[in-house]
Amino acid sequence: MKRVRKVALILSSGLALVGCTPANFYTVRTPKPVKSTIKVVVPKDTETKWVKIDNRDNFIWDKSGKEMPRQLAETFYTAAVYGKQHGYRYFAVTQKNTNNLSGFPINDFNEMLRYCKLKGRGHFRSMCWDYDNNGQGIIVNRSVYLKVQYFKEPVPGIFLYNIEQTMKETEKYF
Amino acid sequence: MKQWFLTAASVLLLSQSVWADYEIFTGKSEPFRHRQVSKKEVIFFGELESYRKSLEEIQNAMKAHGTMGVINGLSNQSANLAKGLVGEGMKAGVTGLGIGLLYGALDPYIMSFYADQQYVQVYKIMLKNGKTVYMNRFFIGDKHPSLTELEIKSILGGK
Repeated sequence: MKRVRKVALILSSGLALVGCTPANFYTVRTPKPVKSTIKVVVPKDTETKWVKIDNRDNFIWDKSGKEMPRQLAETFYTAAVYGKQHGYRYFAVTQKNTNNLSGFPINDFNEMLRYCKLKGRGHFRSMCWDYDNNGQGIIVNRSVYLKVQYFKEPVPGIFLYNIEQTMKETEKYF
Repeated sequence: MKQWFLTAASVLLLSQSVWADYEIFTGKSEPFRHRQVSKKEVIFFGELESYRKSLEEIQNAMKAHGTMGVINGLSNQSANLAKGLVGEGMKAGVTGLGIGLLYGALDPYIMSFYADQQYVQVYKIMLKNGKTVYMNRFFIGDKHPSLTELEIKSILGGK
């Protein structure tokens, strides 16, 4: 009898709360998260270009950092010269890991060289290198790949490579 | 004994910042010399990923409200950055590109998974000739041992 009373009490309390349930209780679904992907607007006076210097024999890399990574300088120089010839003043490196257009702040060849040299020091993972071979780094299998976007004007908040300065900085390596 | 242990522990904790391995990189929007600087202010300090997010937030706000109303509704960090960018630099960007401020595909960085601390401090600099330029100091630190945000801020502000 006691058990029957207990069950009845539970059922009645459940029934009493049914009225509080919103009518669409079972139809409400968690909304899907809004995708924050931004459509990239490419202005008329910019241009995207891949620059690749693939000369494994000439790729000098010494872990001590004493040797100059000439191939890296050559690639940046080639990118800068192309930009200058086509009337641009700035460029952004746009590989995902070092994408200036996403706010990556290094915009100077000498500093980028220093950044690349962090590899192998302690736990550092210099993202200049393509560890996963997915095309997101600059140095892939001892070759240098550079995807750049050129600009005629600076973009506020974005640190772009100055073409004239990059040419001056890279020339001395070869 | 207890006091000795506490002293040893605090010395060990303090020395973390001494052992910490880090590098600082500098970037400038335009080349300039230190003697040309008339005013310098920090418009952003935070993790690299936060910088990307702030740029994204500003870009979205600009799309919604235009350059003038960009600061409304932004987080504090993004609002500070937007305030620093709105003005001469922003106008130059808008007119220069013809179609409004452009930021590229604001990809999240893969590197946030890796064992580095990455902070960026962005300065707005007024030059004596009236020109506004931007400079950043980019901190990359080994997480073993890691530094606190306060320590990183003081390292970046030190020079």
